[in-house]
Amino acid sequence: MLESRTQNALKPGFDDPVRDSQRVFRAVLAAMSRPGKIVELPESPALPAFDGLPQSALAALLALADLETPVLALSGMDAAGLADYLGFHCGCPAANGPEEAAFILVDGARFEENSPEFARLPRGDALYPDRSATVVMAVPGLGGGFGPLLHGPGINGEAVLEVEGLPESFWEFARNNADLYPLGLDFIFTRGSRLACLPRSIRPGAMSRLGDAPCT
Amino acid sequence: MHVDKNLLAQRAKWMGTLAKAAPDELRSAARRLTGLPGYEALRKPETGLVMVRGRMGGTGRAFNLGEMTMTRCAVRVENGHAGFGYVAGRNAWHAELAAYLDALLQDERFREDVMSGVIAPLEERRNQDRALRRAETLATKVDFFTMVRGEDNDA
Repeated sequence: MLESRTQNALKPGFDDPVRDSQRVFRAVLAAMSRPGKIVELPESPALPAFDGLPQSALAALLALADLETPVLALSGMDAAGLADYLGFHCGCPAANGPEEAAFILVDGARFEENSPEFARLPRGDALYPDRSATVVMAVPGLGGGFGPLLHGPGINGEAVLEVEGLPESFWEFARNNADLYPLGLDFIFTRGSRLACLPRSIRPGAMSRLGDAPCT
Repeated sequence: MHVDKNLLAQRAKWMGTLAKAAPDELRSAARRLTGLPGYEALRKPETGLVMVRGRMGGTGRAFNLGEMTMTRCAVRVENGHAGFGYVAGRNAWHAELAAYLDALLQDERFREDVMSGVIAPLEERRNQDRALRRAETLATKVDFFTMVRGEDNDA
């Protein structure tokens, strides 16, 4: 009949698109400028659930993606459904490959099987370091008190990026990524309604040991 | 995905009717309908600008005529179809109502009722207005022809 698959699969976005996306943007900005800081996003009960995708990742994408930011979802995600959904609400195109992605959605526990795609993500270039991808990653653990130690811009002394359940190869990848500074990828780690960030300006250090977590 | 060309053309027509209708008339016509399902907003009414483009003579190269204010909305009726409303101006509930009726019109259970209760009267009204305007305009029409040249003889 009249309807396409796309139309029937449509689901609602933010309840109040302007204010909700501003709130989420502010929260992501706070997390990105204070690496390791865990922020709780405002509740958005209207948002639908996608397999393997935390609500905070969806909210961040709704707030950040627009006409100029191709989005790519890797294995473990409902790629077609997400492309339709984000295309409808944000107008963002679906990226044809990692090379043209501005945002990439990925399940952190599957980092190793997705590493070929990671290698092809844009890092920006010397004239335009902003032409790089932002990785939005679903992680198995966030806020458990353990993770790599961080220090550098935006951190008073030392902080712990309380992200757990990612393979050691990922942290190796993140350290190499930081060595590319000012080029490189930025990371948003998401779980449930919370998120934390790791910008390219920070090189994740050794894993914190029991009792290392700073009292904040 | 199967698309019925005929229905697509019909839909374009009713969406146009819904968009061009006077909001108050559309609302009072819709209020006479009964037994309608509820709906949820997929995209709440939002107002923005669209670039209106045109082609000289309909065939030339596309050019930007100018921007106009437009409000759009998308809804889904319970257990049913997604409907879209695009209306000129800033009237949010007009866009929402147009989207809701578009969704109902795609549904065979409601199409007849909405067609006869809303679309047909609005179209008729529009045709009347047009006929009236046309008649008014025609009344002032000037036919240019060469007058008989008077020979200026005194009467």
